[in-house]
Amino acid sequence: MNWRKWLDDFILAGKGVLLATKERRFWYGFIPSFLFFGLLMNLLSGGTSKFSLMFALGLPTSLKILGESFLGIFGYNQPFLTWLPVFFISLLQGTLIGLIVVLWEKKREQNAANLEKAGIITGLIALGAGCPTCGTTLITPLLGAIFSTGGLAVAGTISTIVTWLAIIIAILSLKRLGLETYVIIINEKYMKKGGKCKKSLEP
Amino acid sequence: MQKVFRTLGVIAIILIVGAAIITSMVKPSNAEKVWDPETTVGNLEAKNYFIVYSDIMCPYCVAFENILFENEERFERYITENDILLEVRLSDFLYEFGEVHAINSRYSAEATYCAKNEGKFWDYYKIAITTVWNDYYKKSGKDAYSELDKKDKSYWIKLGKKVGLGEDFENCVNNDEPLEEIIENAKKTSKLVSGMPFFKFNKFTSSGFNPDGDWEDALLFFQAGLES
Repeated sequence: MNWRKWLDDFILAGKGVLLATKERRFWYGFIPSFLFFGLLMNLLSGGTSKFSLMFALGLPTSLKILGESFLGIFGYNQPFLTWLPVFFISLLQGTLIGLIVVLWEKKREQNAANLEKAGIITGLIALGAGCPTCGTTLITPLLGAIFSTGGLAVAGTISTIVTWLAIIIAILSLKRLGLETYVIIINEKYMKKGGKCKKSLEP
Repeated sequence: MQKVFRTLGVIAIILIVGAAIITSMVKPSNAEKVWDPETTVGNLEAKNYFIVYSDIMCPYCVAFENILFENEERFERYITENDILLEVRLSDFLYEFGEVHAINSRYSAEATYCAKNEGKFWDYYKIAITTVWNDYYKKSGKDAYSELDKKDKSYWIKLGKKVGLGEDFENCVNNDEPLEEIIENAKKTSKLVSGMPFFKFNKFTSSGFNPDGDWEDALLFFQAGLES
């Protein structure tokens, strides 16, 4: 493994993300997905209990729960250590979708696969949210359907694995998409200048 | 002959329907449904019957119950005003069926049952919940259970001494006296529940609780139960 190349790729991917933020379309993807994912994570913070309450208590209470979960994205009424991972993961997810939207515009092929991957990341993180020790993650009832009560006995490990898997996939996707965005945007700038290098760089 | 069969058929249907109506009308009272009246608060014949399935090693359970104890006066007033019977069904569910098999799930349940047998369930439960919350989960979040699980029985016995429990209590915990009852209750719990805490408030059921919740959040569960 060439670590130097990996690091260089990550730096270029970072530059790609920065360049993408200058495109309006990036924000069209970033803002809704950041807000949606942050909201989803906050709604799932207590297992499925907030959803049960929303079903049971009608519209006004549901709106209150949604409103508080929404404000929770920005740290409202949240302890710092609860808020930070939710914010970070939402940021990661929003950036990925933002990059996909930018690439969608610039290069129309391959993006179905990228979108699919982003969906998988969201799904995996949502499955692992909640309290694995207590058996209140979304994955526990799924495991329960397969292993009966034994599902709880593996829920913690599986929740941790799927959450980390999702974060690793997200970071690797970010690297690949960031790099791709960097190459495309730089290439676009170059082509706009008529395919010529700056004078200072010309032989 | 055909007329006789028809008449017998009609009588049989009437008897079956009648039996079904009578059976559905004779519902067991709350007092008959509770596992142990010692672990309840409110009137045994109250109109609303709320059950919380809990385990002291479950951080979300402790978060919910700590809110009730922190707002004890408001909570008791609410229970009375809304005619609620609340039952805590504690077991070592997370030791029996959980992934980490936290041994302190069993120790804490044993100590609580021993206190219950001396008529001090609520005194003991309150000190156990508030101590565990303040010393562990409040400081370090849900992952604090692994630190708490390093404790042995003496930790739970010491808490008992704070509420005036003596030698009998200590012997009860050390000799695992309530163990059979606890295991039986954990088995019963596992038939209904996949995660903790589990709320069965009248017809409303839900699992989990926001660990950073407050009294208002706890009230939502009670409201959902009253409206179900």
